[in-house]
Amino acid sequence: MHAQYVWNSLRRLGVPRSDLEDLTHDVFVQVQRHLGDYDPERPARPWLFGFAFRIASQRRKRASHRRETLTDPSREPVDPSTPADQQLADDEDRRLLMAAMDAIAIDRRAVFVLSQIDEVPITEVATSLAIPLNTAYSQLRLARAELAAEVKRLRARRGDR
Amino acid sequence: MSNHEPIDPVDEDLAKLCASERRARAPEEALARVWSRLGPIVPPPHGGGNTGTSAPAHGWLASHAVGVAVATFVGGVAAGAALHAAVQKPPLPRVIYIETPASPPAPAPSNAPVPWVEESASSPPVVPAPPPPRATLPPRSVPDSLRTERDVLDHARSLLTSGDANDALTLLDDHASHFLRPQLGEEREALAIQALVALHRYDEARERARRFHEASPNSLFAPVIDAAIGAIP
Repeated sequence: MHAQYVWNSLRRLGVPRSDLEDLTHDVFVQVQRHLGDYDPERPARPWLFGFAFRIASQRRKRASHRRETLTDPSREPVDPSTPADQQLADDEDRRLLMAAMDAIAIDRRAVFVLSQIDEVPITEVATSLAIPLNTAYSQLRLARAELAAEVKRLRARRGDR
Repeated sequence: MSNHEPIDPVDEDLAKLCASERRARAPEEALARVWSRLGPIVPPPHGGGNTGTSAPAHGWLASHAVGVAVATFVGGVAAGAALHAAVQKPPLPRVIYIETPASPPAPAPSNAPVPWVEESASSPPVVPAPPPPRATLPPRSVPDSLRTERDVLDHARSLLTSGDANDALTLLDDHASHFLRPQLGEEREALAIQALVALHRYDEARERARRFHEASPNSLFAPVIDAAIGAIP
């Protein structure tokens, strides 16, 4: 359950498929080392996301080519209960969203993922990413605006409506 | 000056893309490989052979209490469905989750973040008749089900911490029966076991804890459950 979440979080943060296993492993190793810091009154997932974010950021810094390998969302399995036509549409949507997210900075991307995909309240987003609340709000606004524009641009390039 | 005001609703197109992304799953075989590499720290999730679920097998997970005691916030704007809690318990306020229609006739002032209405059981001890438009349950895999689940669990948690274990348990059981593939099932079970202990229903709590450990031996909530069971006199 939590491994699913960590895997998806890393992927949403731009970690390429080829690194996901290693980095999911790394997240849990880090989690194990920092269990003593966990505040039991906080939900677990945003806390885990904080580790995923730091590890994804480190990987990005290490990578010599920022966009050497992009995630291929169409390769990711989906919920088997999802109808086939919905799966196809989801594949397209995810491919588009990931491509758009590749265009924005990772810290902004993290705020967007946690807030808009994981639906975590912004106060918790700020806590999990160790950023001031105002920063979280402004990052979210910027991320949304940039992503909306990027999605539009990509759609236009693909010839969508 | 503060930027803490609610931000505008997300762009509709972006919201749809996010909903698709929420349905993505990680490949099970890859996760199994991750678990096997973590073997010295964490046993594989589904028993898978010779691991067992003894105390050492819980490893680091058992070494720390991951709590679910108090929600520090209840967040989120409820889009779509919501849950009911039309509990036929006489005491205390009742909580009714109201399902939002798919296409609301008139846009409500949309800053209200929580999808439930609290009904104060102020007058007579007689249980009031359920309201005519009976609170209904959300469809099972709506894209916003995670948010709905979270709202339900947050509310159950707040009931539990304020001493309303009965209502909390009813709400949690309701969650169990309506989310057949819950995303927050482990958290629900942890809360339910805490509620059972609070109600002195110790045998049920132990049995539910036993089933939980069988089904989810590596859960982050295992220590919470163990702590609740350990608190039984």
